[in-house]
Amino acid sequence: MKEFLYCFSILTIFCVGTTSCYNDLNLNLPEPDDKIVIDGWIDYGQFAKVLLTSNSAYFSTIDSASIRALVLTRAKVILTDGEKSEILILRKNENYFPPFIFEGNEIIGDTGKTYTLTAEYGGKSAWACTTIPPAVKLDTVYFKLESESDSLGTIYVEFRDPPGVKNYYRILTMRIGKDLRYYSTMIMAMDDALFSGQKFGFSLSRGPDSFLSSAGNEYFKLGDSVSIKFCTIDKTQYDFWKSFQNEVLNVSNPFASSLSTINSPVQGDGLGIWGGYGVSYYTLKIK
Amino acid sequence: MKKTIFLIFPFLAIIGIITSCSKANSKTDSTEKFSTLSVEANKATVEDAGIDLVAVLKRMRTIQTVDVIVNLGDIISSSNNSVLTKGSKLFSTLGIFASTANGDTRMNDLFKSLISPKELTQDPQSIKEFWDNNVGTYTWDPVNNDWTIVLGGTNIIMKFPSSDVASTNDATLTISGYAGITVSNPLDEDYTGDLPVALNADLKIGSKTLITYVFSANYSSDGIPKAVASDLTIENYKFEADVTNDTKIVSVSYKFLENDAVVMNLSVTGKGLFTEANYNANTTTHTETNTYVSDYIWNSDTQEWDPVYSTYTDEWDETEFEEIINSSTVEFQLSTIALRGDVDIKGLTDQIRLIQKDRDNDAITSEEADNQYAAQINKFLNLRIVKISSNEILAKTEAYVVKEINYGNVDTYINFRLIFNDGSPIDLETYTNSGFGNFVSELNGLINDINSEYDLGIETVDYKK
Repeated sequence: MKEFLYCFSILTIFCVGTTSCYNDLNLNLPEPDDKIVIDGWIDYGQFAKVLLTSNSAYFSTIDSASIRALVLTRAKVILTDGEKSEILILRKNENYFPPFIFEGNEIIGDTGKTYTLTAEYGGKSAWACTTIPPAVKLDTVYFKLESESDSLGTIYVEFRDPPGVKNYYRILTMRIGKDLRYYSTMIMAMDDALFSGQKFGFSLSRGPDSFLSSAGNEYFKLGDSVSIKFCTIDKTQYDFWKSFQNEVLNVSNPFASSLSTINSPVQGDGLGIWGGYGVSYYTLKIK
Repeated sequence: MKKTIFLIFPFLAIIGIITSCSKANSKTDSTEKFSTLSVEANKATVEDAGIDLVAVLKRMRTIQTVDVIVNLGDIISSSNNSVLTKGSKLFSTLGIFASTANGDTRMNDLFKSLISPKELTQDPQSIKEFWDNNVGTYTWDPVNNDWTIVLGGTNIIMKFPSSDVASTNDATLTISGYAGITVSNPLDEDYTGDLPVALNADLKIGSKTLITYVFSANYSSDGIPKAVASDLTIENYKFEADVTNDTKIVSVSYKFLENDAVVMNLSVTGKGLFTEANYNANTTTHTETNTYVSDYIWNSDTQEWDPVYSTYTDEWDETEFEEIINSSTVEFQLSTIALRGDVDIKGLTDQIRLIQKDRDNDAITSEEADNQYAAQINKFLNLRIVKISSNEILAKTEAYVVKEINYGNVDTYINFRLIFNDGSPIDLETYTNSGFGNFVSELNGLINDINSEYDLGIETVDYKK
């Protein structure tokens, strides 16, 4: 009997102890101001492309339907290059999600010009400027098999950094026939601080098609044909991708929190990136 | 003569591609102003119009008449002695209505049936003779599975059960007032009988009228219809089809109403000179003689096969249609919105021929040609989407040159885009493909209902949202 009372007492204390900790927590989270989120770029020799969405609250539901609902198809997007101006046209493109993209049809990307993008929607306006630096070519591209794998590996590239100027780079890849478009490698941007004016080589790890999903891995595979888009970017864009990368890495760690803000070049009622790319392309068939 | 009629009916066929009607003036109305609503709001207006149409079709499917017509069709199919065949004008019109209501055929098929000069029965030598020989009362005898016929009178009266569970011949189809005229028939050289000028019909269950049908037409001396008016009223729904042709103006109007409210409405008017003489004057016959190897003959001297050459001559006609139909106006109303347009066909075609000539002579590049084409299209074609209630323009359509850069080369082609109030453009295909998700969803729901109810396999509309 004593043992029963003892056990009962322990159980009672445990139950009281655990249930007494529970309490409904009602948080009144403030809704963020409406912002225009720009994800746009202009490549050398190409027309501008701009994905436009609205921002969403930190604790809002994130799924394909909610992301789809954020797309701004009724905005007005204006591009100027200092001489000409055009209103970008909205087209459907299933290679992107949401599958709507504003595209240029007149102004072609070139070095030495400043491209200003303005997006207007719902009485709000956001704008950003970018330039296209001269392209830099890769000297070497090859596939390196991982030591413990018979089919997976990374792509190794080498190039010579132009001396006398500060350079910033960004590399995107597309597995031909597998990917719908170019995706950034795991390292989203880098500068030449450690190899200014020198020859430099490094391995490319494949980036995910979305940081909302953990599917896939960072390797390329035997049999893949990979198109490499080696880009030069200006400092403004570099600052954005560097801070964006830090944020992406931190938010994937449940015990870390980033208190920094992303260095977006977008001004006014907007967020995001508008960047120009000096580009050189390479195709590697991995055998 | 056949040529002349061909000028008109392709024109009607073009209209048929779209689907409904109005007699409103399609020229740019000076009171039309750009809508101040957002693009998304305008897009929603267009989408809602489509959803309204589906809702009407759903309601139409439930009316009593559909079952009566289906049952009449079954009876006619099972009888060897029917005054009406499924190919007859009246029955095919009613049958098409039933299948339209059931979603098997398009609304446009119904309108085409309404204005077609199809006969009362299949392959008659004379419709009038057929009519005179067959007026009488036809009473369905379910025991013998055939009609009991009493000839005489002035009408064709058919009494039959309204459904497969009806125990009496409670439905009566009365066809009356046939009149015809004997003129040459440009549509069918083998038919030398009269062409229909008037015909009435009604279908009743007891004293309740389900259907009234009125057809009237008149023809020029060469058998070309100068005017055709055909109205089909089925309970709360009315279908009107009108064609007029006075050799200078051809107009076609299709209208679909529910309780006197316009559901769909298409009117197209073409101006020009629709005569055989004008057709012939603007048609050139071209010939081209070519040589080909038709055989080989063994040559014993050379010990080789020598080819035998023959010639053949191709002959074809080329018609400058812009000299026959000079201009056209179109209005397509769907519930609350309308696509309005007018095109100066002659002006546009003349300019396009000039541009084509320059391009053929390499006087201009492909891109320059496309730029000129787009400019001329925009000059001679005026197309816009209008909200009927406010007469506001939701968007204007314009041609533009799409440029695609491939490996440093700029390829061009012409496409169309909608321009909204703020000047922002949307590719026309993007607009039509992306803004109608709810409409397509509703339509597919209707199709699935029909498939389930009638054990059919109609394919749903493939739509990528």
